[in-house]
Amino acid sequence: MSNSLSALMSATFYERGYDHHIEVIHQRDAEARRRLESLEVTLYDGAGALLATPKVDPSQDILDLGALVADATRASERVMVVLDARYDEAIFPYRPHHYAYLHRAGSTAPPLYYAINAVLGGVPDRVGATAPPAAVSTSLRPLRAEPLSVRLITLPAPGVTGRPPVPRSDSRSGGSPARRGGRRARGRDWRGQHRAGAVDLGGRGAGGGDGAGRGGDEDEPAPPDRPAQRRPDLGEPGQLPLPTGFVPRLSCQPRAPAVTAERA
Amino acid sequence: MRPRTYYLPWITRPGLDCALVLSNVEARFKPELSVSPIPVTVVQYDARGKAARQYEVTLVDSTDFVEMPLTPAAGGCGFATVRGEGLHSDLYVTLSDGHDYTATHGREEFIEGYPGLIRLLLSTAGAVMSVLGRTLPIFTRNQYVYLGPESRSHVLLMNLSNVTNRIRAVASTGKRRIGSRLLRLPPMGSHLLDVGSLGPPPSSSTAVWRLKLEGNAWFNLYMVGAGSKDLAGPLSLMHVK
Repeated sequence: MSNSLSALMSATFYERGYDHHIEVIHQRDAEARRRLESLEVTLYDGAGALLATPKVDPSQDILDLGALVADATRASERVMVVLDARYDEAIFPYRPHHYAYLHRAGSTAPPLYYAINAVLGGVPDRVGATAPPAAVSTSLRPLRAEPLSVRLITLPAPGVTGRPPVPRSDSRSGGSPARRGGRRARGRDWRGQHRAGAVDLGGRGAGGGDGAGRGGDEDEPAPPDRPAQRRPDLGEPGQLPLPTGFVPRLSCQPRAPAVTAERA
Repeated sequence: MRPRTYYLPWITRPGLDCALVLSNVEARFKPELSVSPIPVTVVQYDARGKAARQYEVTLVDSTDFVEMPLTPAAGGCGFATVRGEGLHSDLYVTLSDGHDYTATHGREEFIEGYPGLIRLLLSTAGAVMSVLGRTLPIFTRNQYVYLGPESRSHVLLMNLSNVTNRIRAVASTGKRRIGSRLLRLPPMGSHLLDVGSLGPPPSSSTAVWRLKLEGNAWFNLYMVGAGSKDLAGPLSLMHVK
C-alpha cells in the first residue's frame, strides 16, 4: 500500500419510486482485490440540510439507495447522496468510478446505467483546457414532470470562453438530439451542407472496405429545417443552462487534477 | 499490431433507430485544429464482423455536427469505427423510439491485429478449450449486471481483434455461481448477451449479479438497458469505463 490515498468524490440523487443502485467499485474482481480504503456517505435534503451520515461498509458491492435512504431518514422528497471515497492507486489499474443503475418503478422506459462521478476524468487533458470544469451538477428532475432522466450540467472553467458543451442524457426530451433542433450548429440545415453518403459494402470481411462507390446512395434530403426548439430552462444561446425546480446542487471548484489525502 | 481506433456500438430493432452524432466540438479549444473541414469515414461492422456499410461525411468546422442514422445490418448489433484526420472529440450514439432517446459516447482504443502464426495457435487452442466449455483467459473483464421484474441490463460484447474470440461469461452472486455461457465471436464480430440466459431471473426485486468475462483476444463491452418489454422495447446504451 502506498503512503497516500486518492480521493473519489461523487454525488447523485435519490427519489422514491426509483430503483437506484450504486456500484461501490465498478468492475470489482471476484476476489475483491480492488477495494476502497474508506467510504463516507452523506445525505442532504432539498434545502441543503444534513439528513444523515449512514455507515457504509466499503467492502460491499452494491448500495441500494432506496434501502439506504429509508433506513437513515424519514425524507419523502428528493435526497442528495454524496459519496466520499478513498482508494489506494497501487491496487487500481485505472481511476475507479462509481457507476449506478436507475429505473423508475412501473415505467416501460429502459433503465439508465451511468457514471455518477462528479469530476470529469481525462477530458480536460485531451482537449487542452487549462483547468477542469468549474462545476458539474447532476440532477433528477421531478418525478411528475420528467420521469427517469439524468441531467448533466457542465460549467466552464474560469478563462474558458464560449458556450460549453452540454452532455445530456434526457429520456423525455423527444426524439434524437438533432431532430429536436436545439443543437444545430448556427441554426442551419446540416443535411443540406453535408449530404452524407453511405455505401453498402456487400459483406466484405473486416477491414475490407475500399471506399468504392463513395458518394453513392445518398440519404434522402431532410425536410426544411424547423425553428430551434429550446427548452425553457436552457436559457438563450450563450447563456449557461439553468435548471428549474432544482434545489439540491453540487458544485466543485477548480482544483489540481490529482487529489490526494495524506494518511494519518 | 494495435492501430488506434475510435469506435461506437450500434443496435437496431424494429421501431428503434440508431444514429451517430459526429462532431469535432472539443477541437474548439485548439483553434489551429478547427479551421479546416474534416472528412470523416464511418465503417459499420455487423454482428458477424463484416463491414456492412461505409459512410462518408464532412465536418465543416469545430462547431458543426452531423446526425448519421445507421442502417440495420446482420445480427442487429455491432460497432462502427470512425476515422477522421484532426478529429479530436468524443462522438455519440443515440437510440431513439421516435419519442425518447438515450445516448452514450464511443471509445478511442485499438483493434488488436494478431499475426498469422498467433492466429493459428489461438484458433487451435481455442477450439480445444471450447470442447471443455472454456476459453483461453487472456483478457478478463468484471461487470455487474441487473435483473429485475421490470428492467434489466444486457451486455453488448465486441470482438476488437482479427481472430475468433471465444468469450466465456460466468454469472455469480456472492459465492454462488448462477450460470455460464461460452460465446464464439468472429473477428470484429459482436454479440448481445441476454443476461436472462445465464440463470433464472428473480421474481420480485432487482438482483445484481457479478459477471466475469474471459476472452482469448481483446474485447470490450457496452451495457444495454432494457425495460419491461425487454429487447423488444426501447433500449439504452451505456459506455463502461
